[in-house]
Amino acid sequence: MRSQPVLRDATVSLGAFCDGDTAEIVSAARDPETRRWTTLRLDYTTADARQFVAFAAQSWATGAECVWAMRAPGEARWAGSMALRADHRDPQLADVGFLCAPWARGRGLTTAALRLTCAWGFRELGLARIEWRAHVGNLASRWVAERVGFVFEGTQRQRLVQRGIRRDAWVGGLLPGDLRSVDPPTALAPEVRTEGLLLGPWREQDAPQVLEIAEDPDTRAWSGSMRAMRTLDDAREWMRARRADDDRVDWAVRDADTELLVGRVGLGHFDHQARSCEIGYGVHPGHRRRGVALRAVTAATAYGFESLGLARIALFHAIGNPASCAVATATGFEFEGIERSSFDHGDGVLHDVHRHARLASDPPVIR
Amino acid sequence: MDPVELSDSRLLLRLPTQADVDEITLACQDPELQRWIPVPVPYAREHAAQWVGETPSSWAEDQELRWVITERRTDGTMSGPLGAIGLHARDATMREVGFWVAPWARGRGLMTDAGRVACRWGFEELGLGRIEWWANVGNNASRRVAEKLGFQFEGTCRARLLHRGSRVDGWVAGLLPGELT
Repeated sequence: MRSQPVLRDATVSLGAFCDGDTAEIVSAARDPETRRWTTLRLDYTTADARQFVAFAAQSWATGAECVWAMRAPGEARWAGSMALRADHRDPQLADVGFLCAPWARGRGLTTAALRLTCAWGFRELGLARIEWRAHVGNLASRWVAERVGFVFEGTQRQRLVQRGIRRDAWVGGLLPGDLRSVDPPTALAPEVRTEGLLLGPWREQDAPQVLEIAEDPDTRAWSGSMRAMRTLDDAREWMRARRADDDRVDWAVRDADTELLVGRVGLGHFDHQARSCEIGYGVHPGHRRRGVALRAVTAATAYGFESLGLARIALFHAIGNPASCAVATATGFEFEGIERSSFDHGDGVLHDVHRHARLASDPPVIR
Repeated sequence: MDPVELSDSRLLLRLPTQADVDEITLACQDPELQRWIPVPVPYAREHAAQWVGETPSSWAEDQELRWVITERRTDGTMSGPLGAIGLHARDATMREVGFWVAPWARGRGLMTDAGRVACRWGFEELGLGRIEWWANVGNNASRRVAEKLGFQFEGTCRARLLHRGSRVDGWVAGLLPGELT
């Protein structure tokens, strides 16, 4: 038997549940995102929450699981749950499960809590490996795991059961040396090396190049998100916002040798049900006509299909932008049609756009 | 569950008995088997006796559903144990397959045939939704068997398996209903 430790840092505090948490737990269990990604009953009631709180306390007595309530420091309100479950056949192996209350999302609580829990598990339980699994498409969970240092290891088909239905699972592993002690600039942009380019997270020192991209007349004409950028501070703020957006994979594209920023590429607007998203990109004016967009889009597309398990990636561009149309065609994004009055490039006018898309099942592109 | 025997035109998968202990002990002396299968080393007769002895309770408690692989000889009699195969419980509709084959029975497709019989039974009679295969990274012979059965390779999990006290990287593959070949 082990008594429950309190784990805390500047962001989060992990401790025991209390009876007053049940109303918040029921409300979180009824949240659509919770329902979509967890195994909690759809008709979750106060009785279920009471039973869970009792189980959490008892789990420490029996040693079966280590379950904590997450709270922001100094706040009494329940903000989520964190569990570390030892494998009954292999005492050095455990897996993690977590849930963040809807009102506590976007504050880094779960990432901090997972980091504290894993460090504690390695130190106190002598674990050699901690495993993370989530249903394919649960990006919020995956980014939490990757920020802490979990290494993505693959998709195991039909590996998990959700309310009686088997579902494909993403699996990641964390070994003691993988644990990251501080938040990396971002884990939402896993490093990808390809054909002389390095795709990775934004860095503070990218601000001048980001501003140069934004000041370029072509970018001004077509990019909504960069149009308002005027100063280096704007550029830094733009990068910060990109890093904080959990529902995007946003890469800085660098020359692999000089590591100088030459462009950007990103996946966003995920539809997890349809396993689809949209791709966006831009190239620094000093690095055009060298195939940067072509190579970056190819690498980001491969990541989307192979690592995120997507089935479809759409690409939109303004009708008057033939360079983008050429990139789309050369990277295997088939033209699907014109969407009329569909996109505001930041000038307050709704423009017609070309829609292209590539499917995971499309034949390989021959260059 | 109650133990069952499985067969095809060539093989009979049956429960091990104490009469199998000597041949199992001999097979488990093989260095190649010891390299990849986490059997005790040195492997003594009592290890085999214990493995045979706990088989009925393993079935009764629905843990590992385990058989020895025997082959019909040309004269109609059955061989002794040439290997073993088991389906380990993982969740209500998922099991993990594990197997080994004696050195003197290798190279004749025995393991693939036994795997097909066991996996087909798992899908058809147990209603499994997934059968999982794990092996230490580098166990190509096991991987070839899995791939011949239709298992799809799903990744490498670092330090995932415990092999006589050492942690080793594990290969994982999955077989879903309808994929068995």
